Amino acid sequence: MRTFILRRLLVSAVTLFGLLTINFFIIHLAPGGPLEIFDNPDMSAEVRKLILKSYGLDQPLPIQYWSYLKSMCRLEFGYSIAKKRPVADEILDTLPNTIQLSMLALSLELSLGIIIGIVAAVRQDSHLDKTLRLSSLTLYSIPEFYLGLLFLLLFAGGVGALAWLPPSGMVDLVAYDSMGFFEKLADRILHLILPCMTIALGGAASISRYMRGQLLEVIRQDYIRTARAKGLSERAVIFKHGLRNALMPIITIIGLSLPVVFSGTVIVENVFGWPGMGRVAVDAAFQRDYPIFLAVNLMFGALVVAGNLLADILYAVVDPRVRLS
Amino acid sequence: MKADPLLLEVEGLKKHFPVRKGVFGRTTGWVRAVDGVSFSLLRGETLGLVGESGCGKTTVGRSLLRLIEPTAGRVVFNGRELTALTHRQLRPLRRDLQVIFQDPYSSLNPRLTVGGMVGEGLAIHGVGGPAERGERVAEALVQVGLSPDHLSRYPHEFSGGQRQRIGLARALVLNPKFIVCDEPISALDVSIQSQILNLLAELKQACRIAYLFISHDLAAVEYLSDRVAVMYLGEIVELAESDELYRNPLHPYTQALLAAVPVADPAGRRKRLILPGDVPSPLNPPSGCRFHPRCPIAIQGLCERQPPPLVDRKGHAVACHAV
Amino acid sequence: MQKSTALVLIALLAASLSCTPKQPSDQTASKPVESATPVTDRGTSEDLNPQLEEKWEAFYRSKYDTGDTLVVGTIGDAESLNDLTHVTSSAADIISLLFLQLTRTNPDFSHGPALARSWQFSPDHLELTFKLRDDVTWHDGVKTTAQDVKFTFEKQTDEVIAWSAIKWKENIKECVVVDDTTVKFIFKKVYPYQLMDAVVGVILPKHLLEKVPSAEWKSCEFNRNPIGNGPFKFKEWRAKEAIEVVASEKFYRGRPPLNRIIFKVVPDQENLVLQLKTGQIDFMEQVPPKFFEELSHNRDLVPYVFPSRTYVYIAWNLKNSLFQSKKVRQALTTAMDRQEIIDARLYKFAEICKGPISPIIWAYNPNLPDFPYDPEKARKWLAEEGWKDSDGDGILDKDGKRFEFTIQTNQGNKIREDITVIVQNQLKKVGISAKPLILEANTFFSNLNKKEFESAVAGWFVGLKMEMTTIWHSRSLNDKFNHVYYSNPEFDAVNDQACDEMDREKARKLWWRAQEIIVEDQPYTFLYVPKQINFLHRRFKNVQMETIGWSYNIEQWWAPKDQQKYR
Repeated sequence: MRTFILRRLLVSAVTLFGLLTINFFIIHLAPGGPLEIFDNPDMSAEVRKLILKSYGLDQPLPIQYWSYLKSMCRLEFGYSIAKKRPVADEILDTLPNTIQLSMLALSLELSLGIIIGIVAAVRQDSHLDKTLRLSSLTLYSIPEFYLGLLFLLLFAGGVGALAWLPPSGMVDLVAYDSMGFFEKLADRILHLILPCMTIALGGAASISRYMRGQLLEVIRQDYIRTARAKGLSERAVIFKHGLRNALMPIITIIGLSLPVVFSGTVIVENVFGWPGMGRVAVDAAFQRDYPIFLAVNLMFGALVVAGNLLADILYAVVDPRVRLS
Repeated sequence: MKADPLLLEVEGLKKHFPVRKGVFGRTTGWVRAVDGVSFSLLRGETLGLVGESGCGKTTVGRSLLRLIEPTAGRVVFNGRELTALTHRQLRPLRRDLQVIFQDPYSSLNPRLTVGGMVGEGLAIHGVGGPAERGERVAEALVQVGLSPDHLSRYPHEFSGGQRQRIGLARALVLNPKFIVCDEPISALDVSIQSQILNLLAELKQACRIAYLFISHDLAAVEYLSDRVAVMYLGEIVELAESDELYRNPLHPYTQALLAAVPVADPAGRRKRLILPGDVPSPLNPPSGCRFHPRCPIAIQGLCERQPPPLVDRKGHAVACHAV
Repeated sequence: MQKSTALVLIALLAASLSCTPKQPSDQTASKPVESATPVTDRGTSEDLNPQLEEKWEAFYRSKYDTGDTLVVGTIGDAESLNDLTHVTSSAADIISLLFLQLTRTNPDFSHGPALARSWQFSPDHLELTFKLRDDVTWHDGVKTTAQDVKFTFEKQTDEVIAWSAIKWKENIKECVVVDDTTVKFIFKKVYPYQLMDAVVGVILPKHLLEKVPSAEWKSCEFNRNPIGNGPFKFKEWRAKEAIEVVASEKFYRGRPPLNRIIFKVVPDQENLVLQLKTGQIDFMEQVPPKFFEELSHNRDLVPYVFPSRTYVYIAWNLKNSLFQSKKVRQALTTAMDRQEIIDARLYKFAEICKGPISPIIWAYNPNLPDFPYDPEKARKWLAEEGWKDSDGDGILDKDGKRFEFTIQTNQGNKIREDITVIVQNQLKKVGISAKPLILEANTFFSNLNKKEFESAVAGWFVGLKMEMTTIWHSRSLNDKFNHVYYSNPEFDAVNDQACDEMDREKARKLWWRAQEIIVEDQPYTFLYVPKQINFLHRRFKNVQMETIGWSYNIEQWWAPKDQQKYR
């Protein structure tokens, strides 16, 4: 088990190194630069040069790359060009919000997906199953930004000016400071509903289809018949023998879902004004804010790699076949 | 023999599967996998069920245990009509009705240890305390030729033959009266097959268990069975004592089946009989005797009609107009 | 109030970026400047406009209620609330609430007293002396003095700090502290914009910033946690979510009526409009024209509509052989129906633009010639230049070269993307093939600055100064903002003369001529000046949304007690 984890850690490190290298060259070789959008005729050419110099952008690319690697080794992320602050501060401000949103969305996605999948599988070919399958296919095909807008219109005041749920942000800015603890908690939950649902539904749809397929596959196995033949109740058959085996591949899906969930947050954070790292990433890409772009993408990369590592370890822990081989 | 009460009685068992088509899954037809099968078993008796793959023999095994719901027919076990019970009422009876499957890989839950798997049945039926159950599980393992050391291992650590032994142990631990053996040896290596066959034979002697031994391996069936039933397209076409059937097959299909078996037979008494055509689809079986389109001795104008019903335990029963 | 820059690229009017670059956050009253008080920026204390000052003062004698919160919805978060390091208008809007300038710039470009009570030029017009108030304190209690003014000037001109408006101070030699309340600017030369240059930029607290090395300004603590001396006090910054400022009790004019202003960041435009509709925000600037109809039916909202300080154009790269003939460029403009663009894409919220100077600038020439839509004439002019469809494929050609080119613009600005298509169709009718090429914003602006394009749809944000050198002068030929390689010796001469002309009427005549030369040459096809649409909740009173900025007199906005919505 230890060598297994060590080996996976090594692979992760190499992956991240590759990721940061590719990111570095992609963003630096993209047309335009960090001053392009904010440039204005009142800024003299000398000042422009000084700005570039102060961020080390006047150096040849290989030298910039080398110093970037060196600073990464010291875990220094440098300064954001557009945000006028240390990159680390910008990330510390937004990373917790993104993690909060994406982890909640992921749990929601998994629990919804698994439950719907089970229901559909147990009631295979019933009208309920067909309805669930059709609606999950529909949800799965709707792009997130569109689903987000749809939710805005339906639940946040678009139709009939009835705002059931807050359309943006993490808290009610006007009243939050004067709220008690439970009001604050409720307020935060209310603000989470729309962005969470928007990210989770599409994923839940695909997980439910996957779950249904897995469970049906497992139910067809002889050991399920054996369990029935032993006289086990149907519920116990599904949950003890069926579900535990059908859930195994879902663990792998968690690892694979992470990048999807994160890319979902990028879109959803913009639609619902969620103050997360996805927005930082989008801004940084458009503004060619190299230091922050690199840091944020490395962050997302690290989260995905860590998620996959965790899924692998988890898989090894729950599956006796993996553990020992 | 006649004095022995019947352990199991199957009467007119039918299982038809719907065929669904189109977006709305409308039922467009029925596959008659089992279409009116009747037979009976005595305590400790073994009935071999043979036939080509797709003839419905596995479906007979599963539907008589109600692992799938039979479409019609009566199954009476030990005086109780299984087909009239609810699933809940059926559960306590399952202790006596066990099954082992063909694939030793998919028949064991990969997430459970051997001990957990074998012991689960005892727990379900509330047999003894944990200690007693442990003992019985160990006993069952020894009975099938495994070591009690294997209790905490997982299925993937075993070979196919060992897995089949685990499957058997899991069935045996409940002291069942009847086991459906659904092609228990066909997925195994030839050398292992005989070990499992011998094990089944020993257990039959030792515990007086009745088997429904489903197989397409005619030699294995001959070795283990007291009586043999031959199935063709969802129906039993011939049923007789094992020796009688193998010595004197009456139904042309049985003859063809036996002729196809390569046996060491220097005298060449058996003629090789090649059947024309393919097995017809059970979706649309031929009328009358289902075998007649391929039958070498079919009598035109007669075989298109349903042959007389086959009556069990009346000597050598055969469903054929020409015999 | 807003630090005014000469000309700034309007990078993105649409919402694809959460931080929009310096965009028009200012607007002008719809009345032409000529009808208002003449703009006098000669920089003596007589430059006060007494009527406007009276109007400003009258508020403090009137009855108004205090309380309530104004929630402003913005597309982008600010990046720094330090005047010397900020870059976006989102930041500038907030900075102007927290800090004082020496003077307040009025809608008619006249100056009113702010931190400075009064100002006076020396007889040779090379020295400008400000008398400061002695009752202005920083929000931490320290007094604001002449030392702060001098310190600010030194930092504004520090190239390492790299203030984005550093050029404004290039003609000021030094800033001298006479005493605590007297400060003097010494100029290198006499020119028309001396007062404007001296007062641009807010004053920063020396005692808090003097220890910060210049190289660290780009990421110092003050950027996110500013301490000012203006009517509002910084309270909280929730990154990417909101910035909250509260009334400063110590403000020298007494606390402003509103308790709080919350700048709520909503990066999605549809969402922002929706919140305006449901009352979750009170104010939105630059509402896209397509929402006007719907929002104007909302009884809680009051629309404020005026010409913006931007104009949108098509640039013809004069290095490209297709566009080297003046006649051809005039024909291109003549072949375009600009009114169709305005009607179809801007819902009539724009006016046709004829030249490079905004009507709000005093030197704007109202009598410029135009090239009205006339495809027949365009075809004729092109034929005169030798462009004929000799192979009958529907596209004009000359010496074997077809009249075809690409027309670039940036992604994310739907209106401009549509313009490229409309123009493509219009030019097709006179036998010219223009292919739209939509590029990611940063790539597009990079192309524009590197002059790597054939033609491009873009926009300029017009500053408050009369300035044409950067874009049109041959001196700027190799600089990035003369995008089209425009060079005309006659224009150069007129422009240089006008820049130094201290006599307003003489200068005006010269500027008029300079504009005529540009229009005659048509290096751009000038498309339109869009109108800016702002919506504000109706409970706010005494609102003057003016040329200088929507928040020009926000410290005087108030809401009657019975209509107040928040605490």
